[in-house]
Amino acid sequence: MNFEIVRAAAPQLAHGFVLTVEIAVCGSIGALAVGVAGAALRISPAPWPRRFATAFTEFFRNTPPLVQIYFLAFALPKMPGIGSHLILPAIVAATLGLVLHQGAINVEILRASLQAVPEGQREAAEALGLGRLDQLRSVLVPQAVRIGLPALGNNVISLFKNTTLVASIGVLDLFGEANDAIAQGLVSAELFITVGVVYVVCVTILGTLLRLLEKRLAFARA
Amino acid sequence: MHSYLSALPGLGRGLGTTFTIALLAMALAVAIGFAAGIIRAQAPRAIDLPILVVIEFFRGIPLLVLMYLLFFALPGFGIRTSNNGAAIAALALYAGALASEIVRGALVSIPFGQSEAGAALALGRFAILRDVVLPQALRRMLPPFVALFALIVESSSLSALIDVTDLLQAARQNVERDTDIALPVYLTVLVAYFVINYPVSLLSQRLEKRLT
Repeated sequence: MNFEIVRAAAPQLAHGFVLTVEIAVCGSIGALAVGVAGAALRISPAPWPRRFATAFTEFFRNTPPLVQIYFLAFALPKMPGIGSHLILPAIVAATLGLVLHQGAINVEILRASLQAVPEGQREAAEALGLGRLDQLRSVLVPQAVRIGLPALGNNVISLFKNTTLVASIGVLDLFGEANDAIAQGLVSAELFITVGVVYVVCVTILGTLLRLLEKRLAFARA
Repeated sequence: MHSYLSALPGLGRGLGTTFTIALLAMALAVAIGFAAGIIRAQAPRAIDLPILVVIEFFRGIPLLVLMYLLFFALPGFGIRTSNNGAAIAALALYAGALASEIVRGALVSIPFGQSEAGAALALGRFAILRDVVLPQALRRMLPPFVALFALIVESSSLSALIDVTDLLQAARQNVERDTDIALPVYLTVLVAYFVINYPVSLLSQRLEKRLT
């Protein structure tokens, strides 16, 4: 094993790592926003918003994020008429693909969590004279978030791992930079092993932080 | 339009490859899952811990990095892998790690009284597992295993990036020849994945409701 090559590529890898973290943070926030908006539509009393949210969720949950990224990057600009306005920079197309896929999964998690809050809670809130919005904000959502937190956390981890897909359309994240270093002639198993270890360490740290957050937010048990 | 129609046979062949890869990876993942899951549910901590570390590694590493490791890095150690072989192996290891958690989770969810009752009937350790615990645990494993298959189909699209001619790679090749058909080709590919995975996800949800 010769890690000299890794040392030579280190500045390049560090540069890519920063981008990986940026994509993961923006992607997670975007996916959470999509999840909240989608779940709100899913529990709407009107049928059309509900149907739209269901169709969106099922489609983006059941198609590969990599294909979504390819669609956004290469197919969207070929849309007749409006295509020329839809040429997205690679990093935007890539992040958007991750947001759509992981966001659709979040919709499903949040919807299921809201349903898991006992019906009596809503009735109690109603009996206290709270309006629909206040019921959601002060009673239902805080409980639903705690129920859904482990699944939401897993989805953040899954998004972090999926950031590697952005390299496939030329974005220079950690994985993209590693490939770039190899394309410059530094063919090396050591480089891939190092990158793999970095991802595993990050995922482990992220997992530990999320479990701590779950513990902190857990209801005090009598 | 003509160009799009002439791309369809290639996409069909790609779909066949996607299916073959997904089915082989699923079979291997189930085998890995049962082996590792049963050992983890039964073994003392000294044996359980190293297996857990290996499982956490394969769960934590991004699938794409694992595929590249198997395809580009293994030859450096004198192990040559084909594109398809590396893709199947990476999917099997990743899904196998998830499968082992499914198996272990289902096994430990069966109340301990069941094993004790088996022991009271003078059944051996293996007989208790085979005749008492596993039949009950299998029902609980079924929904997550079906969902795992959908995940494998979806994840198999990454094999296009190590030049396996699966559905996505077939699309990429056709679009490379004629970029004007990018829209219908990628739309077809998205719909094809959806048509496979949506019924599989529905089945998993139905089973979950029926069996629990």
